[in-house]
Amino acid sequence: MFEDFSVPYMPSENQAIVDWKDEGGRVIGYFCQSFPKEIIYAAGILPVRILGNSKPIERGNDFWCRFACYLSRSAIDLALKGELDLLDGTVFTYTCDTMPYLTPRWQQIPSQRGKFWYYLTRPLRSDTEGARKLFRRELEDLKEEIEKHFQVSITDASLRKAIGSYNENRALLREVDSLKKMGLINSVEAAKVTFTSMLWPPDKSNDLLRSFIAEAKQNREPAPEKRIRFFVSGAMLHNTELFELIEEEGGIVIGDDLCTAGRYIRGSISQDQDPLDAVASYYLAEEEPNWQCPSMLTENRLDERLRYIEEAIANHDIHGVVFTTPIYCDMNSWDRVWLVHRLEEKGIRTLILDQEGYMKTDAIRNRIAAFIETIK
Amino acid sequence: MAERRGKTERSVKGLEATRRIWPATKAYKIEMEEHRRKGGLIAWNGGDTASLELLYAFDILPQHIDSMATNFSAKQVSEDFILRSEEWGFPRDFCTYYKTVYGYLLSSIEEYPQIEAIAWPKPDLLVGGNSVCLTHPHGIRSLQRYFNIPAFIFDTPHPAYRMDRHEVDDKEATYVHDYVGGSYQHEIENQYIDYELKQQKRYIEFLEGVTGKKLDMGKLKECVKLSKYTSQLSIEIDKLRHNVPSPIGGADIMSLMLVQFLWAGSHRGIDIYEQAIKEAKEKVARGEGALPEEKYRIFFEGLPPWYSLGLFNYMQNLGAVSAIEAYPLNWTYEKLDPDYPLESLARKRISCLYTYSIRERGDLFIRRMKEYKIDGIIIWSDICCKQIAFFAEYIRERAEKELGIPGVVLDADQCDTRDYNEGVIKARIDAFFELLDARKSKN
Repeated sequence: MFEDFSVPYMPSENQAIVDWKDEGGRVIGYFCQSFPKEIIYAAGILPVRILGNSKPIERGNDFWCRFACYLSRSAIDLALKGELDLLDGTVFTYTCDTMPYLTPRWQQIPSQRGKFWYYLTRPLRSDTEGARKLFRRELEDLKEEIEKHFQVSITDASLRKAIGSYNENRALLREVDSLKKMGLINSVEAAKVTFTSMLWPPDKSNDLLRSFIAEAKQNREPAPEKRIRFFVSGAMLHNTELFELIEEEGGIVIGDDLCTAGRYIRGSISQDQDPLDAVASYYLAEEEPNWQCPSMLTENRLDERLRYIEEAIANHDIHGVVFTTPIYCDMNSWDRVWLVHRLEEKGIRTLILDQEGYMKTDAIRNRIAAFIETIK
Repeated sequence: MAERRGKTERSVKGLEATRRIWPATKAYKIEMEEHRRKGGLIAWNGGDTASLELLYAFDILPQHIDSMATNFSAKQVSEDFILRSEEWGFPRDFCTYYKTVYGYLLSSIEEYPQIEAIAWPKPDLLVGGNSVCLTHPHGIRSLQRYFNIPAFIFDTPHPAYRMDRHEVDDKEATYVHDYVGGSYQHEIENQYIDYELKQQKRYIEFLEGVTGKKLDMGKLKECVKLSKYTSQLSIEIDKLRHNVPSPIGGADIMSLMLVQFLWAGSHRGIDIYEQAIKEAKEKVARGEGALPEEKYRIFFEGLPPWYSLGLFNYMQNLGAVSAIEAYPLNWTYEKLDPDYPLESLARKRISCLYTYSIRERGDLFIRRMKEYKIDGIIIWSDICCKQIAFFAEYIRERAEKELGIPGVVLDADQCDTRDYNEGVIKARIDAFFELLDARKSKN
């Protein structure tokens, strides 16, 4: 059952995406967890998260900028190599200073030229008067542009349906996360399931998730509590390499605040209000500032992020926090500097791992092994 | 601390007016200290381009993060400060303006007596925004935690991409911008102005709370009027550089920029600008340029190496004058209307050069390169600054393709000398000018 989720993350190699295309479906790539994929899916288009990968970059550094984060360089590289040719468009949002520049550069990639693109600007504070109203207006424009370009109609009903599918997906992924905390599955399995869900049509993902959860509950026994338990804090990962490394060295990732894990599976979009308004509210994370993108400037966001980490440490008997920050990611670096100071003041052990592509290097392995030794 | 490297070169200023900037900078520091002794407040600003006028209207004296960092860099202490902030936890690849300022906070003046004249007083309040970049407002949040003092942070919309999304990127530039920053050809849509105005209202309440005073609208109008005048003077200086030879070079402009950067909205520095214009006009009348012989006219893009502004001397000795730059334009906004100060400031904030889409920014400089008869571009691609580094290859390619103007991209930092190899940089500049020579003789 779990093998169903062991699939390539490269869209061109992912059978579910290829099948979707073969059946005449269209696919839009999106970059950040903060992009409201529900609006794309409501148009009958499959939203696929662009994750980059950890293979050596061949052309991306020259075409783009070597002082950019690995995600942007890797994505450019993959697009230049034709790995993202099946995309019918790509969308970006204002989550850092990289995305505004990546947007026009992306259009200069031969295989992406002339395809649909959209840069979604958005408020960076959820606590500013009028933020949600402004964001809703931006979402309205996004919706209209998708409709116009793809000659489709996004109705309230289709948007509600898309919201329902992704709400269910997030709820099921949170259930998977609970299985991990119960010791029924490990953190690599949970991460793989989540990564796969970022690529698949949510309804297909939901079907498999239900079966996977049922099987795990029925057939698995809680693993003995021997591993060193970690919280991983940072931005996004390209794949499960870091989780694999931690487990290979005798640890397990119990909690996280990653854009490709905890932040991705959090919460639900309200289905009791105007759907665009509900999407705006969810993606501003008004009620949960701890989950806001690190680019956001909301007054209490970082304090809430710290609180969330501390609560996770206390509630789940976590032994240490691993920070994995991409090089050249200023937003996460600001958070990290402050979080590390605060956690260490409280006697919580931290390890900083700069992230630059492939994670399963000897250098990183040794640091994780040493960190585990100090905790033991 | 690491052993300090040898001093890098100082720049030679061409105008008497520019030589007044450094004494004025030191005098401002003394003024700030005196202001504090009398109970006045001091604000540090990071990345918000339209808060100075209101600060001056409330008798609060501002200082910019960038400005402090550049001062420290020019005094050759930024490397030490950067290392100290890295010891404190900042990563190697992080903004060196903030690392320099944090290093300053983590050091003592006794260790660095050479910066006594620019040992800026600590702030009572902080103001930040994302007009320039996203690092700034986060830096201000971080400093808010560090100092535990009040802070106000603007969330400025960046709507430009939505406006130009239908343009095809390789089509000839179609937009016509006014030649100086802050001049969208697009009408800024009302929802963005409204969003800014709501925040401006909160900003005024914030300043009223901090100072215990109500806003004097008459005074604000006066500050906006002064700011507008400063921008108009800045534009006049810029226009004079249309002349061949250019009467003003890049080293002068990078220093003169301080007036609009820090003192827009006050009387400070206005006489310096007026003197610069007078001197430049006299030079033009005499047919004199910034150089004895102007061979090349350069567009210098990027944050310059503040620790080695003498690099401009080196270029000048090769007969190259920097006739336009991008960074100083960011602080110029001549469209302020003193009768509508709040809306004017909202528009100023949204119209910052770095909220332009890359396409619009490119269009602006393509046009400027034509107007200023530019021969080549030297792009200082600041490693830690995305706004600069990402624009580097884009503008180099477009200038070559659309105008046949060659460019060289130099990867280095604006404050961190660890990535600066003067020999290599000069060799690349030499090679670039040989290329320009070859192109000129071919034409």
